[in-house]
Amino acid sequence: MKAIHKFSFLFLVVSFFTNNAFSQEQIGVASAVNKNTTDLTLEQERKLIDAGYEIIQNHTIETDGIGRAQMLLLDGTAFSVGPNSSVVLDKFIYNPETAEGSLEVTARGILRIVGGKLPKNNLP
Amino acid sequence: MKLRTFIALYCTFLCMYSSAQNVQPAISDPDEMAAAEQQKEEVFKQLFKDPTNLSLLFQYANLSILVGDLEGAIGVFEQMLIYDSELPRIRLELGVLYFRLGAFALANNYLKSVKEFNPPPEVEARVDQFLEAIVSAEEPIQWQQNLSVGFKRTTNGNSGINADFIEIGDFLLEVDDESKRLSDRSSLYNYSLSIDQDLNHPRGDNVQYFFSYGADRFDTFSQFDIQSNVLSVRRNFNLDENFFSFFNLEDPVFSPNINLLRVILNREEILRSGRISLDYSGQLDDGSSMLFSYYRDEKIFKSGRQKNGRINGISFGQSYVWPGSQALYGYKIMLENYRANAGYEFYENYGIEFSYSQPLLENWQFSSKYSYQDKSHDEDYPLFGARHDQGETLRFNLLKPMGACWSLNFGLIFNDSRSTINIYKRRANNFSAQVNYQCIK
Repeated sequence: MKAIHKFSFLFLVVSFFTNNAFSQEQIGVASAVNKNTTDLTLEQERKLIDAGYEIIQNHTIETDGIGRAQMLLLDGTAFSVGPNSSVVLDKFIYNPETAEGSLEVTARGILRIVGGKLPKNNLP
Repeated sequence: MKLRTFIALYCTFLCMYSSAQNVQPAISDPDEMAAAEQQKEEVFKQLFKDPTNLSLLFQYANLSILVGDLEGAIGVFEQMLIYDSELPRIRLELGVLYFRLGAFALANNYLKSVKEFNPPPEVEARVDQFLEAIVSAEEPIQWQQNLSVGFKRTTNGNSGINADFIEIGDFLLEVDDESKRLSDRSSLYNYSLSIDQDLNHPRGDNVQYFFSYGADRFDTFSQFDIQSNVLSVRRNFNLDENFFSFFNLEDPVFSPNINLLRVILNREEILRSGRISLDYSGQLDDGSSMLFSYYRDEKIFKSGRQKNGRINGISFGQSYVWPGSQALYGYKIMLENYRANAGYEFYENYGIEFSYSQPLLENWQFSSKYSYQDKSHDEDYPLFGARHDQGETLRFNLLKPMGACWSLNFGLIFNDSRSTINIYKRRANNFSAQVNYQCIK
C-alpha cells in the first residue's frame, strides 16, 4: 500500500513538472506565411502552417529556401523569419497587466524582432 | 547550425537600437492618448484572431503611429511585404518609419528599394528627400545654430535693494528711492552653436561642443547691460557596466565636462569662471533617470581679488516620467563650498530644485522649476556682520515650436534673494518673450 502511495505521489510530481516544462499554451499567432513554413511539434509531427496558425511555446518553426513567415506574439512583438531559417520560442512570459515578461529563443538563419510591450532588455 | 551565439549577438544589436525606438506620440492630450491606446488594444485583440484582415492591419498601423509606437506599424508593413514584396509605397512607409527611429541602415535599404519599382515622381522625390536626410544624419559632425531675439520686462532693472535701511556697524542708513528696485524693459539677443561629434565608437561615444553669446540691453538702466559668453566641451563615455555595485544602473554614461564663462557688465568684464565637472548618469531600476555630478569652479572677479576663489560641489538629481502621461518631474540636490582669498567670502551652500514639464494642446510645451538655496558665510563681513543668504526662484516657461525652424518662448520668473545683510536683499519678477530660429546653415 505504501509503495502505491509513493508511486502516486511521484507520478503527480512528474506530471506537474512535465506539464509546466512543455506547456501547450498559445503564445502567438502566425500573422503572415508565404509558403513552405512548417511547425515541428513536441511529438515530432511536422505540420504545414498558414496565417492564423496558433504558435505554441517550444515548437520549432522552420522555413525552406523560399519560405517566409511572421509571428505575432501576445505582447505585440512581431517576429519575422526569413528563408532557410528555424526558430524555437523556448520561453515566453508575459503579464498583460504590468507589460512585464521575457522571451528566450533558439534560432538559426534570418529573423527580425520588432515592437511589442516586453521591456527591450528582457528580449534575447 | 544551431546559433545561440549568433542570435544573442543579433538580438543584442536589435535591443541596442530597440531601446531608443519609441518616439513622441502625435497626440498630446492625455485623454485622447488613453482613448487611442485603448482602441489600439482592441484592434490588436481582433487582429490576433484575424491576422490577415487588411482593414484591421491598416487601422492598427495608423493607431500605432498615432501613439508613437512606430515598431507596431513596422510589424504590420513588414507583414504585408511577406505576401507581396513589390509594394513600393509600403517600402517607402517602412523607410520613413525606420528613419524616424534612427535606424538609418534599414531606412536606407527600404528607401533605395522603392526606386527599383519605377515609382511616380512625387514618391521618388520623397525618397530622395529622406535619402539626403540620412546622409546628413550620418555625418560624423552635426551642427546646430540657434538665434533668439526678444524682450524682457523686469520689476528690478536697476538691481535695487529690497530694504528700507542698511546697517553699517552701529549706523543705520536709509535707502533712497533711486536705490530701491525700479522696473525696466530690456532687449534680449542670443546666439548659440552646438556641435555633436560622433566618435564612431561601438558604444556610441561622442563629444559635444557648445558656444553661446547672450546680451541683455536695458532701455533705461544701461549701466546694468549684461553680456555673457559660454564655451563648453563635453565627452560622453557610454559604459559597458555600472561603476558602482551598490545600486543598479542601466546605460551608464560618464561625462567629463569643461565649461568657460565670461560676464561683461556695461562693457567691462566682471567675471571669468572655469568649471570642470565629472557627471555620472543612467537609468535606475525604478525607471527614473539619475545624474550625479562632482564639480569644481574657479572664479576670477575683476572688481577685487578678495572674492576670487573656487567652488567645490556635488549634486544629485533624478527625473521621472509621470505614469500614464508624457509629463516629466524631478528633483536635484546640491551641496557646495566656496574658498576665496578673503576668509569672510568663504561659504557653504546647499540647494534643492524641483522641476515639472509636460506637453500641452496645440504642440505647446510647458516647463517649470522651483529652486531654493541657503548660503552661510563662515566669517563676519567687515562692518556688516554675519552673512546668511537664502534665495528662492520660481520659473515658468511656455515653448511653441512652429515648423522645423521657428519657435516661440515665453518665460516668467519670480526671484527673491534674502540676506541678513540688507544690502544684498533683492527681489525681481521678470517676463520675457523670445522668437528662436534654428535653421541657420
